[in-house]
Amino acid sequence: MPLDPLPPERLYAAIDPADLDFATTAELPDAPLVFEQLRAMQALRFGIDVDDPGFNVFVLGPTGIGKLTAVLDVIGAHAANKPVPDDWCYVHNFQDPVKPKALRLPAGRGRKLSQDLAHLIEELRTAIPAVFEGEEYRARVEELEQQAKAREANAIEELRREAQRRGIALLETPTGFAFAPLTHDGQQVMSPEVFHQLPPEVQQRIEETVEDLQQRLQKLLRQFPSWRKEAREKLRQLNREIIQYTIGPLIEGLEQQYTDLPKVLAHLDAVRQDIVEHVEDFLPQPPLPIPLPFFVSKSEERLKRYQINLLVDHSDQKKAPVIHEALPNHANLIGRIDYHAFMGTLVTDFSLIKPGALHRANGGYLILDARTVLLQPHAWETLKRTLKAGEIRIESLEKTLSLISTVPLEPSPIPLKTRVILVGDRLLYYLLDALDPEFQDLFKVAADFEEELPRKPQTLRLYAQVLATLARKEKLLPLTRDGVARLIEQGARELEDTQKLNIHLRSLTDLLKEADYQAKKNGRELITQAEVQAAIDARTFRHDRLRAKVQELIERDMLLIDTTGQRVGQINGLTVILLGSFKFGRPARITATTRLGEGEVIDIEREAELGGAIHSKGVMILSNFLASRYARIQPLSMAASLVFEQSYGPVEGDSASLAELCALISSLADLPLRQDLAVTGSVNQLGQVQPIGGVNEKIEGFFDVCQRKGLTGRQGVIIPAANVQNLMLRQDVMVAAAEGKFHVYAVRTVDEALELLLGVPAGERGEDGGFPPETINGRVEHQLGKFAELRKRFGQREEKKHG
Amino acid sequence: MAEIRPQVIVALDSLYLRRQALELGAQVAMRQRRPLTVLVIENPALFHAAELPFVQEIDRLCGFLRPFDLPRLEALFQHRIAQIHRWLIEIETRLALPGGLEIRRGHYLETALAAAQEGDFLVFGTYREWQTIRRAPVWVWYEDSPSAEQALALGRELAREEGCRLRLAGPASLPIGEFVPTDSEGFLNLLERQGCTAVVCPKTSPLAKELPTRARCPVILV
Repeated sequence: MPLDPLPPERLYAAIDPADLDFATTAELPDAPLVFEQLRAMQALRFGIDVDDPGFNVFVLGPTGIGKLTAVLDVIGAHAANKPVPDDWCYVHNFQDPVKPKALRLPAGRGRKLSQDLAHLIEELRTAIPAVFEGEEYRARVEELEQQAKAREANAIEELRREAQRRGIALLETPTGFAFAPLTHDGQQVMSPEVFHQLPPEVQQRIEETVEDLQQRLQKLLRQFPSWRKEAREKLRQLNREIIQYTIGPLIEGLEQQYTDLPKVLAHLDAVRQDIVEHVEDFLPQPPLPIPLPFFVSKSEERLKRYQINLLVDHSDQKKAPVIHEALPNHANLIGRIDYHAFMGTLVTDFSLIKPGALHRANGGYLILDARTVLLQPHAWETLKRTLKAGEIRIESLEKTLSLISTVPLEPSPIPLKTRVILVGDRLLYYLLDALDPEFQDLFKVAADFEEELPRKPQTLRLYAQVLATLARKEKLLPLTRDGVARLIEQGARELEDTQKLNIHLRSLTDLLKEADYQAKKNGRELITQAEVQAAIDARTFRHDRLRAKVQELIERDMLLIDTTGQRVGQINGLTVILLGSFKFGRPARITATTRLGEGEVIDIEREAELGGAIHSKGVMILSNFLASRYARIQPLSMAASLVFEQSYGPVEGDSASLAELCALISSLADLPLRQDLAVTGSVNQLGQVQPIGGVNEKIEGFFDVCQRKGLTGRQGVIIPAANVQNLMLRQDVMVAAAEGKFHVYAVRTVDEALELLLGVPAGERGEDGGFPPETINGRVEHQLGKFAELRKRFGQREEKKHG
Repeated sequence: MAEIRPQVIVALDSLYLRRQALELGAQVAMRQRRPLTVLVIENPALFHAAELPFVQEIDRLCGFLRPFDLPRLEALFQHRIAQIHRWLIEIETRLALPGGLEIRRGHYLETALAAAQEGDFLVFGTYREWQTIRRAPVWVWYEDSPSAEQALALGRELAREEGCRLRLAGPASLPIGEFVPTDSEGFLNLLERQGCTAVVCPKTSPLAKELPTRARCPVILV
């Protein structure tokens, strides 16, 4: 007995506005935009609460459902109860300037230390020159200089006196000294004439004395450099003592404030020692002979090393940081070291170290978009490496990839304790899980967000509140309850599920905005069902060009689709064409031929390499159905072929396998198929009809064709019974169904579909194991039996021929 | 008989080029409207020593021995005198001041004192190390002598021109400005400690024989 069509009320799950207990959404309070995500929220809360470093979180789900909003809300509330983490700064390493040291201070004290040191340097800039320009210092320096000079002068004078005692004068020459014999009275230098008159032994003695004195003077002069060095060392020691005396109280005062921070004290001590060794940096420098623009003297550069680079400053924070990094590239994640150009070279120092998002999120939470991380060169590897190491090591990408060989700076790493939350779609999550062995070590928590909710009375009101919140947030007009009802229905259509609410926030917001536009255009103050529908229609119209084209081609018989009559082996299948976010149904003629053969069912789409794997699987399933039903005790002696007529592109999916099977059976049974019915459905080996996708679009696609060609009152679509719960058809289809001009039939088995299409009972196997002969199955069985017989006969003939 | 005008004689030791003393003497000569004479005094002992074959020069900086012969010594002195001559020409041009250059050989102090006539100002520039204390005062040794007032007047003028203080010292305490009563040795120590831009002293004072070698600045004997 053929089935009855579905009653109109089964074709659309309407919401009765009267079930909504408000007039407009303006009455409704705000609600969290992300709600009823129990699984995801529980996972997220667990992930951000557990202490283990490997339990970072991957928040997965389709885009646009509000994952990021939910994450920010939950983490924001959680972070409010977490302590503010420590400040971090980098300081100059006086032992090894290439390796700046990291200093950790309680929150707020980093800025204090920075200010204190800046203040200290400013004070020293005044105090130190004042000391060295003072009269007392000058007097002490002069005293040392006089002592040094006196030492030399006294040594010379002593030698002069001895020379005098020995009758020799020590003379100053233009470039040094000379010894010459004195006259007997010792008052003047002996003239050569007088000398030559002396006895030879006296001359000899004088020469020897002069030579001796020369050697002694030479020896004395060679001591002068070391005496001068001693004098310089005394001066340096004087300077050190003075500096210690000057800076001591200032630095000690500073140290008193940081007694609880040994590393800060150690740094202050290093600063003190360095200032003592480089006090000249605080003294006024002579002006350049030619002033250079933007020139900073070396001493000014060196003074910078006493300051700190406050990398992370939490002085204004009251909770743990929650950082959302919009551009998570390598440098933005782990920081970078900047350079500046100076006289044709690139220079850097610890003050040019810049923090990354991981620094800012240290002690808190870091939220990243997974896709964006993966798209940034090396960012994913950087993130993993840093999380595994548990410390942030700043290194340029060029250095990491060994593209440069110079070593700029190697700042000491900073320990990392942060929870990373990656937000991405499901495909990314599962790809990472399958292909990256480190992924599960680092992201052990998956927070899986639903894109739909069950449609229940309690969720309906909450859903309305969410719509109200969205409207207010986007500064849109409030909705009437029938507007809300229409939105809910449209959501069910988009989900292809009448039992669910669509919580894809982005698509809801977009539709709301379009409805708001429609309302305002018409001078309304509320968004009603009419505006929502107008928005839906306008959007459909914007994307509808190709569908209209296809319909025109069908109407003009450029694409051959029959909507009346009967044909053997020819059936109207239904396809869905996806164009981005828009899809529409398009009928497709499927034809089947059968002949004597050896059991192969040729899928011409597959032969032409246009059929996808799932489509091919569907064809194999139906061929096995044929074999199992009709060829259990005899060989399946038919060859068949199936094709989507006038289809010149790829075909995928098994939603046409029911139609294909019906076409084959029609051909085998030599019974014509109704052309005023279209068929969609997947079939299994047992002949059960399985649900498919896009059922609404497929029905509407055939309806549109029939409407254009003229509704006869007999046309309709056969769908799987399991798809009835997905039906949210257009109003015009509904109206036609209510008027009896168009019908939708829901089938569970291939036999039910065959009875509708062929108008003959399918037939059941009798006690003799055969089907009644006038039934569909009987006719198929009979035909296959004939094929088997023929094949046997042909087989024997061949044997005899070659025998 | 032509009147011999009092002049300013700047006595320089041929071993030391002391331009500051020359400048100071030129300024004094210009203000006092006196002619300027630069007297370069060469030490004869050096020439004697240079003629002795066994005498060698020991370099001040590195202690190396070098031959010390007359041609070399004369060449060195010629070079210095030429430098002094160039300074003199430049000063004459700049200050429109007539000047002369004289070279004598002898003991520095005695030769310089012998060259000065009564009324001449004698400027000595033989100090070994120039002491640079900013705004060191001009000192005047004031004692009971005919040229004491002249020394005081010159000292005042110098202090005004140099923009520094004028300080006086002498054996007796006098109520004149900043007067420091002290003896010769005390005065010399004072100069050492406090520095001096210039010292003005009467020629007839016993201090006149010690100041040129002990003071570390130009000494003007009046």
